[in-house]
Amino acid sequence: MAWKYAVRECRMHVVMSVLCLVQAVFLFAVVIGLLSIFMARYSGYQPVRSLAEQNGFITNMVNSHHLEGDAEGLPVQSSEAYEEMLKDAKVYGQYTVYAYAGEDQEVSRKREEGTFFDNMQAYDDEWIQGFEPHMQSGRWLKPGNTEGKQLEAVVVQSSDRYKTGDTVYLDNNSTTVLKTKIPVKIIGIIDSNSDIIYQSNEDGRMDYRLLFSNMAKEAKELESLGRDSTYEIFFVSKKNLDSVQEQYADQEAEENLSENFENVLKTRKTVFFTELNGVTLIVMDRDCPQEMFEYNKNRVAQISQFHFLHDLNYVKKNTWHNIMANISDIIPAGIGMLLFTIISFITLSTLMYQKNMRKYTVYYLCGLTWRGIFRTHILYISLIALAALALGTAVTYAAGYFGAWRNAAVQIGAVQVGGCLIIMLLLLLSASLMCLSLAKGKSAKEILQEVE
Amino acid sequence: MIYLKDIVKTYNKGKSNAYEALHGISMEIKDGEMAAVIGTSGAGKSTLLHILACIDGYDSGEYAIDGMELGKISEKQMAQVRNEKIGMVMQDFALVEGFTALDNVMIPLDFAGRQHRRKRKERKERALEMLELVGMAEYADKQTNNLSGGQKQRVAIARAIANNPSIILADEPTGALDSATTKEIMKVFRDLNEQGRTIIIVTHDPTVAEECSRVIRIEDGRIVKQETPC
Repeated sequence: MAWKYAVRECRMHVVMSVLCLVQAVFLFAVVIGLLSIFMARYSGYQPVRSLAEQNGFITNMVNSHHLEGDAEGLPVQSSEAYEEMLKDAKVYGQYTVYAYAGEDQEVSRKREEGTFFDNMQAYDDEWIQGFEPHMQSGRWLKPGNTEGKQLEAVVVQSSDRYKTGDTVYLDNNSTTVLKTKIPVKIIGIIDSNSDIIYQSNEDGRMDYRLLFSNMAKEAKELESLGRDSTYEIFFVSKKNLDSVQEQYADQEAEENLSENFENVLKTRKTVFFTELNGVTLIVMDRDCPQEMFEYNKNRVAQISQFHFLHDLNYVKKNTWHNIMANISDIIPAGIGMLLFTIISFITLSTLMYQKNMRKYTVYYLCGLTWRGIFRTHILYISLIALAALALGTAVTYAAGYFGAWRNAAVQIGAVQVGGCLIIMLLLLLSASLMCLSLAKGKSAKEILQEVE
Repeated sequence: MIYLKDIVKTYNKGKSNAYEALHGISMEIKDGEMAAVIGTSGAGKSTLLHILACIDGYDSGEYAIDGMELGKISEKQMAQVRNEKIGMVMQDFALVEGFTALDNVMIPLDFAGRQHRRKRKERKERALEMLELVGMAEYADKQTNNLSGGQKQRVAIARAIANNPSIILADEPTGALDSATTKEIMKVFRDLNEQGRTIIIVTHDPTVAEECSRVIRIEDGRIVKQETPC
């Protein structure tokens, strides 16, 4: 029955209801705008949040060498080898693979031309799980992939040369041509404008963006240096690479490479030389003592040459600082507008309640409890607020559909709608408290006398 | 039957301007009686009626309708009493402006408890029936603010009897009406009383009191006289 009387209220007070509606629509528009501005900045951080919020440090390695033992002075080829030189630390790295992936004829042609260079990067599983770049087609790499005899790769390219499903072949970038063909199946093409965890250019930034490189920006920089900006980079899983090359190592050793890389092939079961290189996370337990943290940091400084080495805590702090700094200018204005609209909405709602007091007392005389009356009024206000929410989101969505937000960060998502719902609940709660305070401790007779 | 014993009502209790409006009112009104409560302004007659109508509380004493002690029931049960057992008619009609006559009469029917609530169609039929009973059926779809005083009071009476209550309480029901209309309204009350309803009317008007089977005079919050004019 409350519905019938709440809807009737809307019909009876068209002007007041419309005024309330307009205010609420404005309120929700402000909420959507503010949350969109925040989310636009936060959405870049969200995918790598789990990576960046660990305890440890981030570094951009140039090269790393074993400090002691048989391998002293030799480059570090895997994160496991790096971890052995640290205390209770995990190393999530990316690798330069000294190999060239391309179409069959191309490898020999490049070799003849002398334009042969490596074009493959490998990731540890944690990177693969930690961040998925925007794909133009196909899918992202699978972590823990140790099956099959062909390597799976995703490609970022400046042309449309490769497509998902294509197969290319790998060759060693040494002077020795491989005898066995190691197939590389292209399982996805990365969007050329995507951010990707790669050789990060610091640009003076100390926040989560240290983890990324934007591929379109990289290409532009190459252009500005007067170099050909066409490129293809193949990204693979380090585990997948190790598993595949192990299957070809013996065969290749017998057929070809035993003379050249005898030791390597017999002991490591590898065909290609890999080197830890680029953005690397060195992570420790949250409770690890400060001494251990410092020890590992010093150790990294001894093992590696790097562009930068920062504490993840420092990066995290800066991340939040930078996200908030971007919106801190508009927060006071936004909160001001929110407060102003909320107060005027509540005032209107309270005025309507006061105006309806006589009517509500009649309802009371006819057998409704104050609780029932209050429920009817709040239902009426909820109807307006819900209509405003629907209208506000629909208008924002429609404006976006027709391109009104092309140069703005405004968007409708779960967070924005959730924020509006919270504000709506806040409105209803405040309106309820105001209405309750008007009737509190008074008998129907007193209210009747007041409104007479 | 309405039973009151030692009802005391104090306004502004605990404050410097506290005053006792009713000093231990006791009375019984039997089913089917038509009683008038008279007295000077401020004597406490409206206070008594509002307590009877369950829209105001009392500080001590007992109040029971048909054996149900009203001081011991919940707010929800009290609302049910207002809805089912009592019909209230006010001097200013207490109609909802902007509602039609029919909508006004439907209010108590709509607010009936789930067990007693009629279906929508039946509620409308019942409301029309009540309007017909008070001679207002042709005005059912008219907004109440377009009706005359007498017509408004008839609509208010139709609303008061919509749920077939056994008690009708009227607070100066003819106070805003001319003498001709007063007669018409009193006839409606008499008819309702003849149907077996208990009617209690608070009035200043001796002609209205004369039409009742019992007159209760209140002065300074006490019943000073009870008489049977006819």
